[in-house]
Amino acid sequence: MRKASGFIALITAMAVTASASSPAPGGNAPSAPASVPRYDITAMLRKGEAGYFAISPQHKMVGPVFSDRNSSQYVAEVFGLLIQAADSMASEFYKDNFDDNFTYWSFLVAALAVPHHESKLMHAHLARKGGSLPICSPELNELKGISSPSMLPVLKREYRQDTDPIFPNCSVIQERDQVEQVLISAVNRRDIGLMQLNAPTFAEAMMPNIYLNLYNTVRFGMYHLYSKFKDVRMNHSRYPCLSPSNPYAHIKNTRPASFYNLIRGVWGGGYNIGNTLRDSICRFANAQHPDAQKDANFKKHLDALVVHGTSIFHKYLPDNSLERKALDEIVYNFRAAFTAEVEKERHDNVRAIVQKDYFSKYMNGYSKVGALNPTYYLTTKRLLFRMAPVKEQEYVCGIVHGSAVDKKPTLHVEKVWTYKSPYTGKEETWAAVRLSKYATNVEFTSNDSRCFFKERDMFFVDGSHISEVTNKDLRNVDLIGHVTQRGRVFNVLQFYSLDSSVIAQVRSGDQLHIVEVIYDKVKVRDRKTGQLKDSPFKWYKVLVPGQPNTFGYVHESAFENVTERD
Amino acid sequence: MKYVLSAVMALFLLFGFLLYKTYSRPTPFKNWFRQSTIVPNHIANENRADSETLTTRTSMFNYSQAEPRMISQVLKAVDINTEELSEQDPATIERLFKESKEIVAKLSICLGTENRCGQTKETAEGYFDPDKTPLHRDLNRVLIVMGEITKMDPSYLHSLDREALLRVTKINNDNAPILALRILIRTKMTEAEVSTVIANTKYLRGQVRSLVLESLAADQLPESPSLRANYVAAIFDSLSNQQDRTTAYEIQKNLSRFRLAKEEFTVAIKKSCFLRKDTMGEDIWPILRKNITLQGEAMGFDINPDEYCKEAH
Repeated sequence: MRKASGFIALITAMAVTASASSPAPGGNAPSAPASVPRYDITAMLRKGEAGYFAISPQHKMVGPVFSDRNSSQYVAEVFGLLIQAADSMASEFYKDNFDDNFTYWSFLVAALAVPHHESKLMHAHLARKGGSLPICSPELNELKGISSPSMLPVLKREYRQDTDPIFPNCSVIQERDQVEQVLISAVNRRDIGLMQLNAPTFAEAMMPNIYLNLYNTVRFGMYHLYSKFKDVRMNHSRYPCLSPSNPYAHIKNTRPASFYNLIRGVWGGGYNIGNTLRDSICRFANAQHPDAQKDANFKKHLDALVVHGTSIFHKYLPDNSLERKALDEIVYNFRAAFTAEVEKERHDNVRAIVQKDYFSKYMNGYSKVGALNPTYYLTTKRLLFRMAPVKEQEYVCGIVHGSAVDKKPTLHVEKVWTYKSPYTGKEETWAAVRLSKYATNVEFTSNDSRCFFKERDMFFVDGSHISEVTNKDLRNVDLIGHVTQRGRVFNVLQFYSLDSSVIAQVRSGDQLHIVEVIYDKVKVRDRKTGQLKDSPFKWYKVLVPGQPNTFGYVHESAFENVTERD
Repeated sequence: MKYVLSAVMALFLLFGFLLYKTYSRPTPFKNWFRQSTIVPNHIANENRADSETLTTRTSMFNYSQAEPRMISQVLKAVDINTEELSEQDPATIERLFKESKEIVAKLSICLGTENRCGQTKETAEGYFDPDKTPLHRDLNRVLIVMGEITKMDPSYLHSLDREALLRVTKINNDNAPILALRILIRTKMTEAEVSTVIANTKYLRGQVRSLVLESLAADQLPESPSLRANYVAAIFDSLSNQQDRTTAYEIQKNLSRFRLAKEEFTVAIKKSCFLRKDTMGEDIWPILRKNITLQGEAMGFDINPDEYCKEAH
C-alpha cells in the first residue's frame, strides 16, 4: 500500500520550487514562470477576438451574462454549470470509497479545459456604449457576415423575424446604453457560444432555447464531448499516442500516466475534428500535422489549468470560494494519477458544487419575451413537456416550472383535448402548448435531437395539470419590475396613459408595483402620424409612485427583472 | 513587343478562365433536390442562392443543397407533431409518406457508403463526424414522420419499403437504426428480416447496438431456435469483441434487457470479463462489478461477479 506521504512531499517540493505562499494542492499562479500564458476572459472583448450578435432588449439571455461588474460571479457560475453537467455524465465511472477515479476526474478537467480553450469561458456579455466593442455589428446582426448555407435559414427563421426579431437591425438598438451580446467565432463565423459548437453540424445548438440559454448550451456541448471521451477512454488501447506521459515531470515523485494525453486526444480528434479515428485522436502527437498548432494551443490551456494555475478559473475564483476549493480538488485528484504514491481523494467541495443550485434564480422569472402570450398556469410546481402526446419516457423533452399559488400564466395553449389513448387504453387529457424556447422557466432535460428540431414550436403536456387564467386571476398579479435605464436626457422613464399621454416620470432602477398584465394588444398613438396603431409590446398597468390610486401604463421593454413581490 | 506579350497574356488568362468555367460546372446530381417534388419551387429557388456559394466536390450529391430541401415545408410536417400531421388531408399524408419513402430509400444506400452521400471532410463546414452528418439528422427526421404516419394510419405499414428500412439498421448512428426498427417491429417481421437486423448489429457501435438488440428482445424475437441462437450469438460477440470495448461495456451495462436465460446470462458475463483488464492505470472492476450486480438483480439472479471474472483478474 502506497502512502500519502509521497504526495505531501510532492506538494512540499512544489511549494519550495515555486516559493509560493500556499502549498494548496490545487497549485497557484505564482509558481508559473513568466513565459507561461495567463488567461483572462476579457481577452474576448478585444476587437477581432470574437464576434457577437446583439440581442434585442425585448429578449434576454437565460443564465449568467458577463460584465466587468460581475466577472467573479460569472466565472463561478459557469464553473458550477460545467461541473454539474460533467458530473451528471461521467459519474458512471465514479466509484465510492476508491481513490483512483481518474477517468471521472479527467473528464471534469476536460469539461473545464475545453470551453476554456474554445471560448475563454465567454458566452454572453453586456456591451456598453463606449466600450471596446460596438453595441451592435451590422455584419452579424443583419447576417451579412454569415456565409454558411446551413446556418442562414435557421438564423433567418429563428432570430430575424419580421416582428420583434431577437437579432434586430443595428439601427434599432445602436443608441442604447447597453445590450446583451452572444458569442460567435470571429474566424469562420460557424462556431457558436461557450462550447464553440460547429453550428452547421449541430443545427440544434443554434436554436434559441440552447444558444440563448447557458444551462442548455453547457449540457448540449458536454454531451458531445462526453460521447467522444467515453469512446476513446474505453478503447484507449487503439490509440498508441495515449501512452503514458507526465506533465509534472519537473516535480519529484511523479510518474507518467495516460490521462493527460487522453484529454489532448479527445479534444483534438473528438471535439475539434469530430471523430474518433486513430489519426484524428492522435493528431496531437504529430508535430508535422498542418493543424499541430491547434493542439499546441489547447495544451497551453490545459496546462494553465492543471500545471501552472494560470487559468481564468484561477484568476477569477476567490481563494475561499466554494468553486475555487472545488477547482483545487479537481486538479489535486487529477494530479494524483501522476504521483508515485496513492493519495486520498478529496471531493467534499466538488460534491457541494454538484448539489448547489446555480440556476433557479434564472428560473424564477417568467419569460416575457417573444410573441407568445401565455394564458394558462400550472396547477403543479413542475410539468413535463413532451415531443408527442404519449406518456412514455422517450418522448419527454423537459420540464416547465410554474407555481399554482400565484396563478401566473406560463403556457400558451393551442388546444386541450381528451381522448382514449391507444397506448394506455385510458382517458387522457392533453394540451398542445407553445413554449417560448428561451423562457426562463423552461428546462430541457433531454438530449434527444427530436426535441430541438428546427421547426418545432409545439410541445405536449398533461392537460389535467393546467388551468386557464381568468381576468380575476390577472387582477391578482402582484409583481415588482425594475425600471430599465431609458431616455438620454433625463435618464428617466416616462409613464403613459393608454392614450399615450405622459402622466409621470420615474428614475432608472426604481421599483414599480405592477397591478395587472395586459395581454390584449394596446392601441398607441403614432407620434408622427397621429394614428392609433397596435403596440407590439405587452403592457403593464402600474401604480404611479407618489400618486395614490393613480394608474399608469408601461410597456414591457421598460422593465427588467420582473419578480414576485416578497 | 510589349503589346504582343500583353495580348498573349490576356489570351492565356481568357483560356484559363474558360477552362475553369467548363470544369467547375455542377455535377449532374447537383440539382438532385430540385428534381424532387417535395420542395415547392419558391423554396427551392430561395435556397439556391445559398447553396451555389459552395464549391461542389461531391460524387453523388451535395449535402449542402440537400439539407435546405430537408428544411422545407415537408419536413415541417415531418417533425413528429402528430397534431399537425393529423390535420393534413389524406392526399397530403399520402404524398408525405411517398416522398419520405423515397428519401429513406436514397439515403439508406448512400449513407451506408464510405463517402456518405458525398459528405466528406472537405464538404463539411469545419467539423466532420462521419456517423452524425447533417444528412443523418435529416434521415432521422424523415423516419420519424414515417413512423408517425404509420401510427395514425396503420394501413401504410403495408406499403413500407422494407428493404430500405433494413438497410438503415446497419447505419451506425445514434438514432437512425432504432427509428427504422421501431417502424418495422410494428409489423410482422419475417425471420429473414429479423435475421438481417441481427446481422446488421455488427455495424453498430455502443449504445445504439444495445438499443437495437433490446428492441428485438422486447418485441420481435420469434420462437425459432436458430434465430434465437443468432441473437444470443450477436450478444456474445458484442460482449467479447476486444476491438470495441465501448460496445461491450454498453451491452454489459444493459444485460438484463435482452431476456436471456440464467445460463446465457452467466456466459454473457464471462464473455465480457476481458473489460476488467484495463491498462489506463485505474481499477475499473468495481464499476463493472456494480453494473453486473445491478443487471443480475434486475433479472432476479443472485450472482457474484467476482466468481465469474476470476480468471480475467
